[in-house]
Amino acid sequence: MSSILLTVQTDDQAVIEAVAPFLRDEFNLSSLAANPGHLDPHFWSRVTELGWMTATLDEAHGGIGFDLVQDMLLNREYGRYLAPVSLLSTALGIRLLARRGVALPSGLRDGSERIGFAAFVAGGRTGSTLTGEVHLVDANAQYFLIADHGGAALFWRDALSQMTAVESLDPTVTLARATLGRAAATYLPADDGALPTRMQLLIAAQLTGIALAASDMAAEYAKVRVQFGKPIGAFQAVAHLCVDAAVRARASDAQVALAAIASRDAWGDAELQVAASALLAGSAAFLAGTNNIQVHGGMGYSAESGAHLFLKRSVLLKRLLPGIAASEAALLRRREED
Amino acid sequence: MNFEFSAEDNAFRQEVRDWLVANALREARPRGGRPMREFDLEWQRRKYRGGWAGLSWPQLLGGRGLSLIRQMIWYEETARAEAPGLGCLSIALNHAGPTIIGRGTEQQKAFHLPQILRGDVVWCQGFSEPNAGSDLAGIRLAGRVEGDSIIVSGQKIWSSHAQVADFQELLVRTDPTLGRHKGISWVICDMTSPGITVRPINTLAGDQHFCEVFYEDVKIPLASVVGEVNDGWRVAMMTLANERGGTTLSHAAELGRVVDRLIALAHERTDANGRPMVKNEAIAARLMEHRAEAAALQALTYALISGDQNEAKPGSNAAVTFLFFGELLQRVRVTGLEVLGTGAIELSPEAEPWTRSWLADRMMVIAGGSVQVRKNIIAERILGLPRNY
Repeated sequence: MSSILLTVQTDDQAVIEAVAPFLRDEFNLSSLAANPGHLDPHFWSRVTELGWMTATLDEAHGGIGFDLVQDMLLNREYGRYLAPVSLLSTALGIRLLARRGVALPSGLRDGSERIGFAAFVAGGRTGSTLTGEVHLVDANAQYFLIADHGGAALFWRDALSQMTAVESLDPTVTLARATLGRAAATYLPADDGALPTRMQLLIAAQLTGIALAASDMAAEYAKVRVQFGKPIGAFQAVAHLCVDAAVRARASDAQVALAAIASRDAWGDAELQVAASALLAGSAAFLAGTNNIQVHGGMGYSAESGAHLFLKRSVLLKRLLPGIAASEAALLRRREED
Repeated sequence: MNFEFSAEDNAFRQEVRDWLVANALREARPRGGRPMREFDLEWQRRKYRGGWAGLSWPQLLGGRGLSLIRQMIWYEETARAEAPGLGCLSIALNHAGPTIIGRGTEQQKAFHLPQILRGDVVWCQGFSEPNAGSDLAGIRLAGRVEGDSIIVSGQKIWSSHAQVADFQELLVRTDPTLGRHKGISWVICDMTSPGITVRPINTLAGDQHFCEVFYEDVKIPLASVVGEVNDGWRVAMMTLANERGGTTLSHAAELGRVVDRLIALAHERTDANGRPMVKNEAIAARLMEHRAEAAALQALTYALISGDQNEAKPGSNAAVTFLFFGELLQRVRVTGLEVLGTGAIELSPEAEPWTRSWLADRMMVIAGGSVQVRKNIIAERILGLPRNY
């Protein structure tokens, strides 16, 4: 019998339940809004202990052996709760080290150290040499992961100079600019790592989580906020803002699931499916973030509501999507008669 | 989560593909009138002979009894082969037939179902009225029960292909004293009955897709009521639910192909400077979005049939998918005009697959519930917002 299961099944639910209750407690939106830079000092050691950072490694490497679909589900939850962006960079970086056969530094093993994202402001890689000005998304991290469509590299903060703090659009992250001045030792070309594609998919999953959370939040508020004697969701102009956001979020959700399966199972059009999911998720998160603020009206404009955090995170994550050019080619390719 | 076709389903796909190569009608479908009717009936007859009539209909009643997965495979393959769709037979095959199967008498089934499957008859719909469009429960077409007949007087509108139809699925108000949703009956109307006048409506796309239908003391036997007298609203809702399943699958498959063709066109056509349209950044950006969105539409349909493989029982996301489809198709059609460039002012044979289709496809955001009504329904039934209309 065919197995067309694009919706969450019982075993998928177990993956979600493994992280969602913890994230719900840890990243309550009003606390996050009140103190966006704050993070439980034990957060990294706790999630490391829980095995989140090594979830996709096989058991021989101390992991759980989560496949790409399960990783997608994890990241969708990370997005939904606006969990730290470095959860993804750390997990991806650890995977990169494992694939290189490099033993994990003790700091990554116990969660006292983490890996942040770096992304070129302009310019970038030549061959296997990485130089130029970069954004550091978690400036206090000890290591950084940088990826483009050709591959990915991991470097220690030692490789950076002229680090300058920059006020971040997304207040939950500590942003800096710095100059990356030497070749990174662990640059892994995409063809044997597939890391950039994985990163693209997992960022799409986080963006999808944002789209779902923000569109849910908009609909819930429209049910309880009363004006002119009725819930504002009874006005079509408001209801349709909620619907537009929800429809894009659901489309993105279906696409990121299909892309995860396509990529895991190495379909011929996996690259196109992943590129489609990234494009869809970026616009879904941006729309849901925007509409959620609008539905909240004045409250949405306030910092206190936290509605703005979804929109800001969506801009940050879109910026981190690696290697758009090759994805563009995949999306514009003529489809030969197959 | 998983996505894998069984060996049997893959073999089925190959069977469909081979059959379509050998049997799909290759000539262009006439744009209207009797030639169009004949074309659509001929295609149905071929499918009947090949065993492909009534894909979702139960096998006991002469259908193919296909699971949603296999229906989807059929639609993907027909889109790929650019084989004809149901054309003016969609009401018979997707609405009227399934309604008669669900609620009709044995006599109604025995008389009507084989004719539909064989490709002998065309059906049209008589639901909307001048004052009951989106608000369908507002219908007023009078049906006076007299002895063993219903005497029908009044008007219907937006009845697709009524000028070439043999039968009509007709909603009449048989008891105006009951509530809006009560007192309606679903009847089979023989279009050759005395007292019926059909007046085609010219559309903005230059065809005559729809008609007005006028009824002057038209006598319809009570034996032609499907379901109970005054229970027509519930019968009609079932009809509309039927429309969503297969139609959504075929829409998604066809839209994917339209985007493929548009991208191919953008590679071929050049702007005034001889540069391929696909190199125009604004156009390229839109084409990428369309392809991504067409992929997502497919994914939505896969999600729709997930875990529901043997039952034609689409979930609530059907409304989401239908809305997403309608809005996406409009965006794709507008990009089609841009890619066409200077050709956008023509309805020539070369241009009309993009220009006339752009016009014709406006129907897809109006018929079957305008996108605004679709949004109201999603707001209420899926998001749980208060009813706003």
